Amino acid sequence: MSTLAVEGLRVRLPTPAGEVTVVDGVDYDVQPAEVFGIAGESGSGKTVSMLALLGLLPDGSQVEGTARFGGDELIGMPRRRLQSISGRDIAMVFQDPYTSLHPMLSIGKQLTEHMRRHLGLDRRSADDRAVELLREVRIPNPQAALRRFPHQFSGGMRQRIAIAIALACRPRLLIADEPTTALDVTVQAGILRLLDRLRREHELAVVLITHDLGVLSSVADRVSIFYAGRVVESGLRQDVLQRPRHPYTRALLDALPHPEAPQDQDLVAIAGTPPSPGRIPSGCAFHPRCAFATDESRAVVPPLVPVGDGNRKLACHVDPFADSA
Amino acid sequence: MNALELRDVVVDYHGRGGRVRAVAGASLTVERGRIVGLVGESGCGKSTLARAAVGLVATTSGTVTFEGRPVTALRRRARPAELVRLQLVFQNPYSSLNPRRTIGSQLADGMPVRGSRDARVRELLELVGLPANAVGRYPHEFSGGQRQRMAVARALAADPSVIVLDEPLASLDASAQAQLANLLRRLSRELDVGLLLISHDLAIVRHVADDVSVMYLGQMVETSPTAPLWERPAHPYTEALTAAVPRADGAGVLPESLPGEVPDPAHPPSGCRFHPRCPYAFDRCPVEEPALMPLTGGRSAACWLQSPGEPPSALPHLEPAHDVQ
Repeated sequence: MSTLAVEGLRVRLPTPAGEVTVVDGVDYDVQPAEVFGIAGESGSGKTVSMLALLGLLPDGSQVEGTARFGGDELIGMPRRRLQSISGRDIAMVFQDPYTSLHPMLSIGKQLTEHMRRHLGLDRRSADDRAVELLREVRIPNPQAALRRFPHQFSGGMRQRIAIAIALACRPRLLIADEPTTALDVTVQAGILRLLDRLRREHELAVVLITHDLGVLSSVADRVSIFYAGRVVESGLRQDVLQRPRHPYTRALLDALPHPEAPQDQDLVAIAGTPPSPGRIPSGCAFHPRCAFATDESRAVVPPLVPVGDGNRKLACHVDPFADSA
Repeated sequence: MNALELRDVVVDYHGRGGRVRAVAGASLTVERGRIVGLVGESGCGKSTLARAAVGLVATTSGTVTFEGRPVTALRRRARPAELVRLQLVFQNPYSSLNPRRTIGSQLADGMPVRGSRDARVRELLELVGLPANAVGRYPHEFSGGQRQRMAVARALAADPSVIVLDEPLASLDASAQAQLANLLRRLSRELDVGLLLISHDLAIVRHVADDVSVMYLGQMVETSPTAPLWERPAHPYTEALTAAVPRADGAGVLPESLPGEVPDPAHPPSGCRFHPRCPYAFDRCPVEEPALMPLTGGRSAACWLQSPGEPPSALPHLEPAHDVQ
């Protein structure tokens, strides 16, 4: 059974210029022990679609659709109940370990407060579990680390601590939003390996949000590509990244420096810029930047429909790369 | 002639904890029309070196010369007129442009001569691929990628011979990154500008730079033309950096992580500074510090596994110890 199943998610945010649709009909599901990757450029709605599930959007936001988590429906759930689920069964890790940890509280306090509140552990057993968690995320000398403060650790170590805190109450779902974007590649590699190990050992379902297709490619099992608040393509990692079928997915991959490409070849940037929410083009939102766009693309929003063996879904009227896939 | 030359530069910071040597004797040259990539993990001193190169921080010892003249730290003096042809572009285009002034007036600021400024402003905008109507508009009306190209245009307004760019690509999406990378290559070729490109993104450096310097804990550990550095790294640290880059090939291969952390520059390890993290370290490494020694092919490396004047020898390939993460 899916750990999380989202259907028809739609989010409207209040802005000074009126309500703006930021997520416009998104479906996906995440299985236990699976890393589900969400990629897209900034402003594509990937983060908002997660915050919406946890009730973390500003007042006045409107969320439609369903999000089944185990036996519970997250959307429309009373705030108090949602908070208790999202502290215990669903955990989040954010991009910036510098701000997600409290600067004035010791690591031990931040780890154990969570467990004492949600799991009802006494101080002694909470401390024991805290040491175990720090060991699990490979913090050297965990006993001493409990008494130290966030500023005494490097960026990579802080992100490991943030992950330890996220794991404290044995969540079933971990949402990691750009967890390695602020880190060096060497440290990033360590965090990706850590996530990969944790999901295997704990049957943890992971939603990994990233703009970096390299990161996505190295840990995700299945992926969805977001553009302007919609999923344009989804499927198994190897299918989507090795044989992209949506012109946007292909363009994103083509923009990356390829390790084997001759140096004198220019990188291929995508024409134009991503649309801002509130000014989404008609029809397929990607059409103004797409070389394959037709009259139909300009007029009708393409639905996300299964193609090929059914694991794969595509939202494109033209499907110009059907043969190569 | 080298347009920008740094020789044995040492930069110390003085804090409560005493002296910290951020740059510990680093040399680097940038010729006109060449792009030099400077890579290394955070805390390796690469940004400090960039600042020393343009006179924003004082050097403790060593020399920085630009077009044959010494570059000295600014402190409270105005920047000497001859240094106007040495420009700096910062990482964050959101904070380096003035939000309250039009693009046109900010570009005109940098121009040395009075007179036909309007025509020159338009020419610069076209050069960096921005619409001509940007002249009367404000930075917030543009995307991050466009703003970063504005920052480059502003540097170009001074008709520079060298531009130092500190992580200009870090906050950009793939497509905006590709556009800027292409622009940088074009500038160096067509305008004969020398670029010092500081980046932690090795994939893009590999694509853009003609030469690469790899910095570790305040010192250069390897310098080389770009292509052979990637094909056969001469220093174990370079090898670790390149192996940590995740590939967007859909193969699902986790990048290699480098165990340990960048040591505290206030207390660098004995001997070779990389030895505590080096998989190939042997008894000589903790005892004796290797100097950057010239190899064949315009390369040099500071590693006891290499011999001066010889072609770079392949590093012993060991199976990495995965369990460290």
